[in-house]
Amino acid sequence: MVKKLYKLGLVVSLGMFLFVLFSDIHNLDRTSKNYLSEHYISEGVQETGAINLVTSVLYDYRAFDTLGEATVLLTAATILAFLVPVTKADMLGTTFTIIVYQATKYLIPFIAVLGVYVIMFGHLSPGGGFVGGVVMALIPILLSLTYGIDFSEYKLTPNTKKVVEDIGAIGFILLGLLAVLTGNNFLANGQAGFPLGNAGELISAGLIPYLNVMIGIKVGAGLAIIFNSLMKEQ
Amino acid sequence: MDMIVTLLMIFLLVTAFFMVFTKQTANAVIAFPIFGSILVVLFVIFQAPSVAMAEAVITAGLATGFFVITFNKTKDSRKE
Amino acid sequence: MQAAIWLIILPLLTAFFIGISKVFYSYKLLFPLVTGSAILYLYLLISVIDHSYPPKVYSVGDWGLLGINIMVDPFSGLLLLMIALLFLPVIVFSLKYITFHTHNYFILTYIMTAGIAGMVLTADLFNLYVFLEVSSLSSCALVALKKTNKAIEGTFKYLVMSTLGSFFILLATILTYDLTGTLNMAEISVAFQDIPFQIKSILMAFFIFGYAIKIGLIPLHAWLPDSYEESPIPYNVLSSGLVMKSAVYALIRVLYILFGFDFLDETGMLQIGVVWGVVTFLIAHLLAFQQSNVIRLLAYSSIAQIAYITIGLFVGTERGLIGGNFHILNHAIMKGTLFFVIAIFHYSLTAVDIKDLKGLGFRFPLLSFTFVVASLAIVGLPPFNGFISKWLIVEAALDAGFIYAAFSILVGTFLSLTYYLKVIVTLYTKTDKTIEMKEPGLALKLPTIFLGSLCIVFGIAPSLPLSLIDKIPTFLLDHEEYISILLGG
Repeated sequence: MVKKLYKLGLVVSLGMFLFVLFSDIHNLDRTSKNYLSEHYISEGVQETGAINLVTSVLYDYRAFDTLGEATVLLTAATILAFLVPVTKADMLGTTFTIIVYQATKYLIPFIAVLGVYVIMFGHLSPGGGFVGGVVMALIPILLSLTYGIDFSEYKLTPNTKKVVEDIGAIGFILLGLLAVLTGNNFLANGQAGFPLGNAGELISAGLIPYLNVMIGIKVGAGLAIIFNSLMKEQ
Repeated sequence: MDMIVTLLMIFLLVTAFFMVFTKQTANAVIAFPIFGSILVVLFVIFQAPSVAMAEAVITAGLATGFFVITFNKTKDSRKE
Repeated sequence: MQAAIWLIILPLLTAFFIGISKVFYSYKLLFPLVTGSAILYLYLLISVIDHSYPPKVYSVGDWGLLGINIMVDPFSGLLLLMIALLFLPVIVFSLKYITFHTHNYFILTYIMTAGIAGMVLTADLFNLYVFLEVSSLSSCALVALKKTNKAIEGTFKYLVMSTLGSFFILLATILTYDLTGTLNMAEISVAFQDIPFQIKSILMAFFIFGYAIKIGLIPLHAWLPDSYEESPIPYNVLSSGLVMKSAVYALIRVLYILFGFDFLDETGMLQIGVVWGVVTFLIAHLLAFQQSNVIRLLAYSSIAQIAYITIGLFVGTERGLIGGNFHILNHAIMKGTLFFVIAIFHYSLTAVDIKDLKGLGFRFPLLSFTFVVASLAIVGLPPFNGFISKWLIVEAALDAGFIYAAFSILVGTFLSLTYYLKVIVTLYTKTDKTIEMKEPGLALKLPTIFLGSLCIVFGIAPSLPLSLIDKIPTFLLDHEEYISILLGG
């Protein structure tokens, strides 16, 4: 009981501390200091050609961060792939009724369409490479859950997934290097002369859709690797 | 609208505290997607659909799956 | 300045290509890919270090102040010089040494190097966090490479502590962005002048706590020896040489550029830093004395040496900064040599305990001599490089009025001499036992002797690295110049 009270007290005092800090920060007068976010909002569409401002920040203004985050994910997938035992076994040992199997079979095409849509329209509507990649990763995950890990890895071998993941990462860097070829800086988009097109069309915003595709491929494959590695047992 | 936001915030705090202080890990694992879903609703109210989508898919969906799989492998759950 | 960005991209590309070549060609492509890229990387590093003064700014994506900037200045040039000195030897060494999970080892090593290069080069607060995460996560993975129980335990401790540190750094980064509305270090530094003292000191406390965990200062050091113990030893060279140093680099960058020297003086952070350093190295030396495992001994010694660096950097004078930075470089070289020698002993006859080293001094005369040179250098005896940097730190501490720090450093020198002598005496004790052993090839010996000879070269001719290090204090003590270059570029 005392231990629990101690824990509670610790959490509450930390919360109070942060609350005071946050309120202090918000009481400051900072009207003039938001020029960066205001610039993103007012000029983002003209400068990057992407209607979705989150995408324009993620894949254009701060695309370099995205490369780093994708690398973190690749590292995590690599760790889990070698840390978790190589031998396979079934996960729960559950067999489902035929309804589950049939439902999964019919669900997969829809998930694939949704994933592709989210990735391809990342610069026009909410979503983007990361979210779309997760949706795409649901396909192998669903296969592993219902039909078992053997079937899932027969359809998509771990090596295939690993190669796809690496191709996504290399593709991102190569797309960034396209700008270097034209004599501009790494990951430059509009400045390097890639046609931004009319904002709102599918093929617009220069490199952003292609970067989205690469990240989508990478994230999807990486998460599928992580999930299957977690499911394996000794 | 303010009312809803306040209510959701309170729920957010309650689920967060529940996750930390509950005795059984299983409860914490299941409370995690609830926390995520409340956040999704809040993000939608605050007009951040892209963030809400990421939150819904990653936190409330995938991360919970990871937690369940991992939890299933711990010794604690096998006994019951 | 196009070469600067290649310092981050090239290791990443190499890592990804190794991943692909693993599937299609197994071991055939590994050797040319790894060595070719390491040599190319060395060339790039030298060309960037060459142009590190005057500082240059490279804007990723041509966005200027809207996006992410990369900046090369003498301080980052020093860290790049360390990568240049350590990376190729480690790669050559590992190609022979690592026999398990070879591909994963090289993938993770290259990703880690990319992360460190990113941390060193970036001039953006969030980008710094991202690359910190890249380097520390891959570093965790390398600890677990052997998959023994001890290795997993060490990884777990490392992962938990490192995540805790990252959490505080991320929290401070978010609050900074909320306060200033920008992530560019120069703009934050300008905007920080209007922020109240109280909020700024809380932010500084978050940053310091986060980075102190990554560095391993004493109450927060517990993960470090455990994570060193069972990890592949060539990784330890990079870990103590680069991963810890990059955290020190990031801390100093944040404190001196973001908050500015005057603020550090005002809050008394300089005094706290020096006291913290003194406490850390005294305790670490005492702990190191008790170890029977050489790797753990070297890990504790690393903590102590990092504390010397902390003292040098927090004394707050020009000479202190020069001494601290020179010690960063020297420690990487000396500890790298020591770890290499131990790695060869481990490779030849799996010896990691002090008692296993008995009599090896006569079996491996040249390697043992290298070990003696490096350990005398790390203790701080005259003709070697460790002496000069330690001397500079002591002198700076005396000049700035930290008499107790200067005195404790002398005490610490004797403490460290005791436990290094223990190892050296064991090395040169005769035994009658005949031991089966593998003969270490040239690929293992050459990097070791290269680094060992650097200990002597930098001791006799310290002006070689000091010509670069001398330019560092101007950009740290007075952050105006750094800011104007970053804003103007």
